[in-house]
Amino acid sequence: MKNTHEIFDTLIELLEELGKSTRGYRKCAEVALEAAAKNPDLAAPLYILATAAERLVDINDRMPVPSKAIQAAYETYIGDVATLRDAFAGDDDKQKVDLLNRVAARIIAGW
Amino acid sequence: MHKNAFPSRALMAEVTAKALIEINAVHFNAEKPFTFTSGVVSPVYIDCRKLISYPRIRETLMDFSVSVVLREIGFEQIDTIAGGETAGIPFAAWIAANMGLPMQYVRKKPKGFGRDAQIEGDIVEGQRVLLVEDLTTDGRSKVKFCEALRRAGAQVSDTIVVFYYDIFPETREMLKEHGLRLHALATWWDVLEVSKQKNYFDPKTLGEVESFLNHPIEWSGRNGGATEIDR
Repeated sequence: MKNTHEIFDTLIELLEELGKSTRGYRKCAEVALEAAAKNPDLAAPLYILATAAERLVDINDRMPVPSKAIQAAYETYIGDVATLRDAFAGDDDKQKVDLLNRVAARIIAGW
Repeated sequence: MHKNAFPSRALMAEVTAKALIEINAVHFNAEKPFTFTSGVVSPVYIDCRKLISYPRIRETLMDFSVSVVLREIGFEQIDTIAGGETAGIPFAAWIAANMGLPMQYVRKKPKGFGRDAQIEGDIVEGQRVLLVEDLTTDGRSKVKFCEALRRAGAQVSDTIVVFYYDIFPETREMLKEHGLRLHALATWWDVLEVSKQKNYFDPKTLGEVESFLNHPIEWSGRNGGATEIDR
């Protein structure tokens, strides 16, 4: 059984393995949703991360993306992953909700 | 041009390449490369979606497409035209209109459940469908759209695009394995040829582009991108 850190870090590793590409985000979304189903205590943050990845896939719509934009999206996404990973590895429920809201608001604001 | 006129393949490729350059759909930038969906990094970029805003060009290219369909597939071999969401839809609509055929479009993701969940429009069991998209890079999306059409009962053996990258040797083989023949109006090689003839870009840039077209995976690896293509 993977611990909380490992579950979240898998997403970052996947993205790096797949060259921070749109295909990487598609895979991240799939893996995050599967992990959410298996780990109900982490369902909310993993669902949010899956949604963020899917939104990026939809925005890029199979078009090539300038490398600068790829790097910017990657830094934003791994920031979201790290924020939620650290929050849910701890015991502070208020902080978990606050950071869920913060990341969700960031995603709604756009890439 | 009447839709049943048959210009040579070479002429169609040259006109298509020139038109794409004319409307700034083609970009070469080796200093700030682009990342494909696959993770491959490239100095070339093309946006065929821009074509929809240029009526004279799009009409010419759609006439070319009909000509290719009639000559390479046949006059009575296609029953309906399907566009791949999103970029394939307008081109499919124009080809369907030119050929007087019905049209559907294929969603990227299923809407609900059932075998028709990815298809919009009516499809009849056994219909021979031509899949239309704006371009093909590695052919993956063609296979996905084709599988969705086949699940809905269609027969799909051919797909046509305005532009085919033609840089990954695996693409045609992979499409063949999935029972698909690819037809395209132009490739990067046509754009490169026209660019050289007309001096559209500086020699250094064209040299870098040619290096990428000849060895895309190696070029990608040298520039921080993927070093293999998943099949």
